[in-house]
Amino acid sequence: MPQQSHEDSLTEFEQLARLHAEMLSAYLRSLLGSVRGGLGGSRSLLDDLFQEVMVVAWRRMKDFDRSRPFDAWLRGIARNLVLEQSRKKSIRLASIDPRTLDLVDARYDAFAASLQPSSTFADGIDRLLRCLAELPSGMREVMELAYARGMMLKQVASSLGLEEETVKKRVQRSRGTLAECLRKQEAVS
Amino acid sequence: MSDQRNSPLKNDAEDFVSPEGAADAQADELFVHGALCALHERADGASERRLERLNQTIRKPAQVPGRRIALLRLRRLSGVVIVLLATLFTAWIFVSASTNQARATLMASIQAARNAGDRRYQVHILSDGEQNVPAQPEAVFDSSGPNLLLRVHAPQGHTAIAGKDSIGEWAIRRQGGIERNDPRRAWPRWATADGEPILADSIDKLLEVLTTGFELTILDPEVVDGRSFRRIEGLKRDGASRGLADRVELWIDAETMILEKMEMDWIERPGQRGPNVRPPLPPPLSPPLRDGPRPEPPPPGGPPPRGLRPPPPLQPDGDPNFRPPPPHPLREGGPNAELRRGGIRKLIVSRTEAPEWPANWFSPEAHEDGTWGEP
Repeated sequence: MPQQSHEDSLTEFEQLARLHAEMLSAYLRSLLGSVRGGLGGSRSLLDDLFQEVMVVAWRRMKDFDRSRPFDAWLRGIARNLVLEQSRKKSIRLASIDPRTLDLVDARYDAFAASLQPSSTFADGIDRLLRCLAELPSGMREVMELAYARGMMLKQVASSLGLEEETVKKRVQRSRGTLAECLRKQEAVS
Repeated sequence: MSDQRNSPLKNDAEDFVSPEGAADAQADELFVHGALCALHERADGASERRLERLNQTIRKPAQVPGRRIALLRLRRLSGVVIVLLATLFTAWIFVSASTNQARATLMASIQAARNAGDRRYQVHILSDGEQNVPAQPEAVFDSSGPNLLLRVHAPQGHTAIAGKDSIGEWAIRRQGGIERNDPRRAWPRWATADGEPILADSIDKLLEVLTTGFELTILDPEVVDGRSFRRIEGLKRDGASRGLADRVELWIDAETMILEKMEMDWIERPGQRGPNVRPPLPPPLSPPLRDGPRPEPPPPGGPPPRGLRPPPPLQPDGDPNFRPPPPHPLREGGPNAELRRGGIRKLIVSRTEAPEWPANWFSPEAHEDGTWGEP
């Protein structure tokens, strides 16, 4: 097989990175959602991790087995990197069950498998919009304020006149409902 | 910390997902959380920004000093003259390459900063009479794309707040209210060079100032906690802006090219020390910020415009109608009002973890109460 030129390799990697950028951001958020303390939601931390994962992937591109899915390979790098940083204490992971992390990986795999060959993760999560629209109004309102407007739970609680604990539970329940809705849509597709 | 725990994006795992749920239910929640975040990030082009930054990194040319090849060839020649020439040539190459490399590094950092995401920098100041840099930052500077927020612990005990949002620059008046007409008076003097704010446009603007105001050379890189940093030293050029520091040293993350730390030093000289000892700025040319009639324009043939003559005395003798001007809502007691604690000897700008701030963090309305307020 003829060897790829450096420019060809770069172009190929850039295309792959573009296709899977949103998936990687989501996956890192999933991992960081379980981070203890104030770093978990930081966008600059996410930006730095994204950059680091992609740079490592680019450097190891020659080791990538092209018969396997690129997104799963990228998630493997991301997970190792996050765990390594957690060991160095630059980020702190909660005492989360490793099995849960495996299950998160499995959720991403299942979601990718449910997509049409021509679709990307970014196309797939558009389904969430439909699921959000189907949420009961109380849940939808809370999720809108917390995620779309980026408000803190305290602010959401204050603007809706609810207890903070109620809002927290409602967010958790909404995420569960959305996951269920997505799973149904995956089954249909 | 309790505030941070309240964010839906950054809680402990036991808070973040339903604690009573089974592992697969927790995994479901984490998956949905990631997907929701990615979905809502689309609006601000986060993915594009990250990809742009990535492309810059992986397409960065490898730094091979080509001139070293010429130097090696020269070494093969013999004779005292050649050795002497080679020595001089080496010195020139070293200085020139170092300067060019420093400028290239700084330019790459500016470019990377423009595409970087949310950033937070702390500003620590060492003043005359202080032995150690205070642990508490003097100011915190947040930026996200074109949006900026500067919060300063003013010496009078209040918090001076200024920023920039999609509408433009703004500041919070000390007496309350939002100032958009002349917000730059709220900027502390250490953030300016001869009255021009150098932090007002962002840290990126400050880096641009460095390329013109300083002779730059590259220093040996440093590795701290496994991270490699490029270091640049800048010595103020002759004729550069008076308020600039005499020396500056930068630490730039070699991987991301983002500025991590900057130290500015003012070297003690009689009659000149740091930006705080510069003479006060002339009175504002803009209309007064408080309600009331605007001043009459100067009569034709009158005195030269302000700036070419000294500012008028506060209380001219023999003028019974003189009334001191009302206190400026921003400058009165603000960080520009007087010497802080004497001259500044050192100013340190260091990057710190940016928290997840609320969507309205860069809007003046979120800071109208004038308190420090952390997301």
